[in-house]
Order: sequence, then structure tokens, then C-alpha cells
Amino acid sequence: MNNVRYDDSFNINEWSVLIGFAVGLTVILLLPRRFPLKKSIVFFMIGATTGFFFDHTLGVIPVDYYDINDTSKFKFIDAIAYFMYGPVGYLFFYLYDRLTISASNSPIYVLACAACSISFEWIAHLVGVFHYKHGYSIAYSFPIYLIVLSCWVVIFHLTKQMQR
Amino acid sequence: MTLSLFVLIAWVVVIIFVKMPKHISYLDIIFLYCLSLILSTNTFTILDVNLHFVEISRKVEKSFAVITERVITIPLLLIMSANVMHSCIKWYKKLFVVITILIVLLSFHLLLSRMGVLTKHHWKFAFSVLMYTSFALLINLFSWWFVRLGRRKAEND
Repeated sequence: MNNVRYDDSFNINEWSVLIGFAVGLTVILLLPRRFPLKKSIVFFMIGATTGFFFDHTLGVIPVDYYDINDTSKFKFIDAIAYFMYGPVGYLFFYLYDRLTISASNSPIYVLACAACSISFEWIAHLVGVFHYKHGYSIAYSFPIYLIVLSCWVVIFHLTKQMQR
Repeated sequence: MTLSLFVLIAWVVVIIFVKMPKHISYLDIIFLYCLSLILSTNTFTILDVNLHFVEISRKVEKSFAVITERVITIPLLLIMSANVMHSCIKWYKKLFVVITILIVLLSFHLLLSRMGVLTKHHWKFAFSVLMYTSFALLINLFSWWFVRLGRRKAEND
């Protein structure tokens, strides 16, 4: 895999990642507690793991569809970028539970969340967090979001069943 | 062939994992799975992309074999070791199971090298032993923390 260098300085993409992560964590801490601590940690981790999983499969060989931040190499700021998905995961589960969405309405909720995710990804692409390669475009992310968020809904119902 | 073999191995590991008695909760398992997946994917990416110590084959079939290994086989084997450590069996039996799991992980790593999936530069077998032992230690440490987190909370309530 050739190492592509997009820029060398600490600029808008790094600041976006740091601010995004800080805002996400602040929102989690400010929201009234809804789940037990262990469950909250698991929901956060599910979000972060999804980020790590897709970026370490779609973003590396054999497909290598995109790079994150300044270079093709893995950097510390990339890890923070993946952990940015943690608050996203937590908020997804939080709102799903808070709005008491029924199973029949969950596809609408998933669609709305996928639309939000696409908007955030587009902003991240504009500020230089994502660099698409080999014909990949944001349109391909949309079905991925739909599948991932649907899996999250299934996980939510499974964790609820386990509690009973 | 390589992909089929590693998918088969992963499936056997899944069967063993599903069948074994669980001494930790499902929430603990999900947490440990997330943690071990992050750990294995990051380490493999850093060793390949950044350091070029253990390069993964650029062929589609072979690289998917590695993805199968690091997404299913490694995390599940690490969770199994944590699960055994939380069981009530004697300490030497626990140690025996954990060492067996480490040997299995190392055998799969060797198999990946032998089949030309991984190409090693400046990398000795001892480093692999160190890597997988560190994985097992970290996962076990986090499992103790996470399992106790629930117990402490229940005691406080």
C-alpha cells in the first residue's frame, strides 16, 4: 500500500476530530442517565468498534477505499476519529430508548439516523477527515449506515431481552 | 483455499465458544469482544501499514482470511481465556487453558505465515508470543475491571 500524504500540519481536520469527540463526550455526560453504567459503556464501545471495524476493513487492503486524516498510515488522531463513533453509538441507543420506538417504526428511525450520519460524513469529507480513493464515494456509505444501524437496533433489543 | 480454511477455523471457534459454559454475562462478552477487536485490528494495521513488520498479502482471498482471523477467531479465543479465568476451577487448570489458547493463537499465526498470507520482516517468533500474551493479559485485566464494575454497582444499590 502506497503511503499518500495529504497534508503535514495540525489543521482543520485534526481540530474537527478533537472538537467532535469533545462535544460528543460532553453531550453524553450532560444527558440524564438512562442506562446502567455497564450498559452505557457497552453502547459507547459498540459505536467505537463499528468505526474501527469498517475503517480497518474498507480503509485498508485489499479494497483500500479511503484514508483518514493526513496520511494513509495509522496515526493517533485516527484512533480518536474512530472513538468519535462512540458518542454516536451511545446517542443512537439513548434516543431509541428515550423515544420508545417500536420495532415497526425502527426502519424510519434507522433511515433518519443514516441521513444524519451521511451529513456528518460529508462535513468530515469537506474538512479533510476522509479522503476517498479507488472510485469510492459517499453514496456507498449510505447502505453501510443502514445495515450497521439496523444491526444496532437488533443489538439493543437483544440487550433488553438479556436484562429480563 | 486459504479463505475457506480460515473461515472453517473461525466457525469451529464459534461452535466451541457457543457450547462452552459462560462465567461472565453477555454484556461482559460484548464489551470484551469490542475491546479485543479494536486491539487486534489496530495492532495488525500498525504492524502492516506503519511499520511493515508483518505485511498482509495484497491478494483479495488471503487478506480476507486475515480479516476473518482478526474479527472472529482472535477476539473469541481471547474472550474464552477471560471466561475461563472467571470460572471456579483451580488456578493451575485455568493457567493450562489460557496457555493452550495462546498456543492455538500462535499456531494460527504460524499457519498464516506458512500459507503466504503474512510476510514477516524484522519479526521474530518471540515477538508473536509477546504480542498474543499481551493481548490475553490486557483482555483479562479489562475483564476483571468490567465484571467487578457491575458487582460494585449492585452492592452499592
